[in-house]
Amino acid sequence: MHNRCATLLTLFGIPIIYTVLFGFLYSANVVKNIPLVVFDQDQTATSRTLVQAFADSERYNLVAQVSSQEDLDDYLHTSKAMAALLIPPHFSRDIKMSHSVQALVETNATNLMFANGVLSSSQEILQTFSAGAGQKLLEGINQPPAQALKSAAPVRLALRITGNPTTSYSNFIMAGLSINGLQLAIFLVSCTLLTRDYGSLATRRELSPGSIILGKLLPCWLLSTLSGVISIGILILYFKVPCHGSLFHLLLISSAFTFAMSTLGLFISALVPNVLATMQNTAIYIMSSFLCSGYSWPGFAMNSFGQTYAALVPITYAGATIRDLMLAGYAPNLLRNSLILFTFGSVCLLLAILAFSVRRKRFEPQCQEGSV
Amino acid sequence: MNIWQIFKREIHYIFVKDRRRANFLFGASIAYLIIFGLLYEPQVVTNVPLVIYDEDQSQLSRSLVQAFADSERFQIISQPASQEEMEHLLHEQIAYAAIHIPHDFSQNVTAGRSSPVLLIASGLNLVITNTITTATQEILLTFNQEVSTKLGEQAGLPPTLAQNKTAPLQIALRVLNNPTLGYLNFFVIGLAMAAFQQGIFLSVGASIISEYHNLRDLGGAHPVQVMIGKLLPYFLFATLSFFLTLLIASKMFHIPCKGDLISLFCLATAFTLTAIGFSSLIASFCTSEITFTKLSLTYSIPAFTLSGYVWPLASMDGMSQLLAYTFPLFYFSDAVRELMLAGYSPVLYHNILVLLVLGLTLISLSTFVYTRRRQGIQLTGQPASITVDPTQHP
Repeated sequence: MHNRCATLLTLFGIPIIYTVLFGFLYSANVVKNIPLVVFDQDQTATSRTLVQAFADSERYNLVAQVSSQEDLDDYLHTSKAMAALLIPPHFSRDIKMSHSVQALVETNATNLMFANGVLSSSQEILQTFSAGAGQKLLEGINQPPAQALKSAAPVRLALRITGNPTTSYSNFIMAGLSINGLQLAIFLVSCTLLTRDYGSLATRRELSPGSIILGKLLPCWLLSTLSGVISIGILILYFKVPCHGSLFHLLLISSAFTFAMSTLGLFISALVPNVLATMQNTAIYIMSSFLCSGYSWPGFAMNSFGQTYAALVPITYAGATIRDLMLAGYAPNLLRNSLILFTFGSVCLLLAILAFSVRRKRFEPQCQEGSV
Repeated sequence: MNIWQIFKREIHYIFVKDRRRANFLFGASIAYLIIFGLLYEPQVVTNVPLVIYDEDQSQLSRSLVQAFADSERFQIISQPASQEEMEHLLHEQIAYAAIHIPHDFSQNVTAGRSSPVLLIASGLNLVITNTITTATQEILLTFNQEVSTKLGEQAGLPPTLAQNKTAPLQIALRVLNNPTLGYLNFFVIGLAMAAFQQGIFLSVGASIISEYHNLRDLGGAHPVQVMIGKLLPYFLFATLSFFLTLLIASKMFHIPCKGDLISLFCLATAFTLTAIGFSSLIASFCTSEITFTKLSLTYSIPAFTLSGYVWPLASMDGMSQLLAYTFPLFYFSDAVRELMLAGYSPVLYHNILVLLVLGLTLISLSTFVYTRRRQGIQLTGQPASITVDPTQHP
């Protein structure tokens, strides 16, 4: 009874706790309010307009305006600011006189979350400012305002982001983290399924190895699928992660994944005699698989090691597929990935039955000796 | 037994009787470092599959296509002949980005009418999306400057003046501490440190739980002596393992190590102390090593995610911030990365102090629990060992 409760707690508790915990963690969606320090050496209306453009952006939180390079460096050095804007002296005058002017943006890139945010947003702000300033200069040589703007920025970029238009970090990562929690839960449960009572199962000769393995597999597979559905449900209903895909497709890939993970655990459980050794020796494979799955670091950017490793872990075929189904409503590799996972699971199932049969034969003489 | 004898006994356990403990201590962080070092070895995302639908087919549009072809960030995999084909390639995830150049692009630009170029980027994987948007902005900025300068020249301005009038503000970006924005430098140290913590947990957990199974073995020694004698080897070998990991990171994967060894040593020892205290206390309440291992594995993912290493503390909600403050890794992994990449960490002394206080408190609590459990057995005359889970040793 105690074991059953612990198993259920593991199977449902870990994915749900992970989903809730990380749902709150990433509720801000994007990194905003990056602390910014400004060193405005010009102090004119033009330079203050540029400073204001940064201050108006929700990406930045203007923490200080300093009066020396040393102060600016100090803010960056002590991480009181993660970005700095340096406006040179004669900034306004040089723009008006059509001399080349350079504004410097510095960012501390130890954490790429800050650096990426600064790089994309500062370029946007400075380009808009530059185009506006260029427009005024061209107006100064008697071009009409609209014409001047077009001459200053002849090619405009119209950006359309599909699937996750707000580039929400929560929408991007949450499905994967929930599936990762589910993977861990299935692993912790399934790799102990046979080992715990190998001896007693070996004596029950009226049951074939296939029926014992299937009897162990089915509850684990069904309950873990239910646990996965609940986690995805929490994501959709509570954390408002969009779900454009059909529930049938989600169920198909989720059940394929839980089948593959459950049978993998069963195979390991049939093979390795020690629960603890099983858990500890396979921990590195399980714990590292999510990051190697191509969910965040894309497969086309991996070297051959990464691609091989990714191909060997079940989460590669499920994590991104579930995210794509939720965000885009469509995953091009849905059927292929489901098939791979079911095939992988079937092979593990056959191997588990084989390993169990072989080991049961070894147990039988011991049991007979014991009964004599 | 005195401290020295307990110390020697524990070393014997680590390297002879239960070699798993040595494997955890030295293997976990190094294994993670190698796996993720190899995975993130390319450092940045390049060759994002791109399709360009060039309706204009003019010299100007081809020069824009060439600008994308020249960028190592993109790989043009196809130039579709229709919008439907372009969208199909995106839909099937054969391409992750598409550029649509309209049919009147060149005509509009030459006539001084602003012309839009449509970029469609897949937002499903933000690592790819960030690469696409940043690289496209850079390419178009340069392209715009060249074109607008030419337009200025056509309007009768001298070349330099034309450039300065149409794009008066040049943007200089200086990226500190990780100038290439390399993923390897950014990510791998934190992952190795999370595994380092896991290695300490599993080895110390195994030691403490096995001690509780045989409480009478060291019954003659003072509890403080037992805890010091038992935990000191883990403290020393974990510190050694930390530096071995950094050495491999630096020599094999060329991750910069700008920080001074004394700062790294102080931080590592303070963290090791806390991790040992944390695991020995939790292990005191676990009936079997299996339970402890399950708890430890379950804890490891939130511990890393909430450590502020990737998602910054300032962007967390209140509850997550509160949780983050209770995790030892929060005071360690980010500071190690700062020491490695920047050569300094502004929170170094603060974090060392917090870790020392936390570590000493946890070890004291763990010693207290050990003392009480031993007293309980002596008073009640219970058997010397707690029930061992038979599945551990079939």
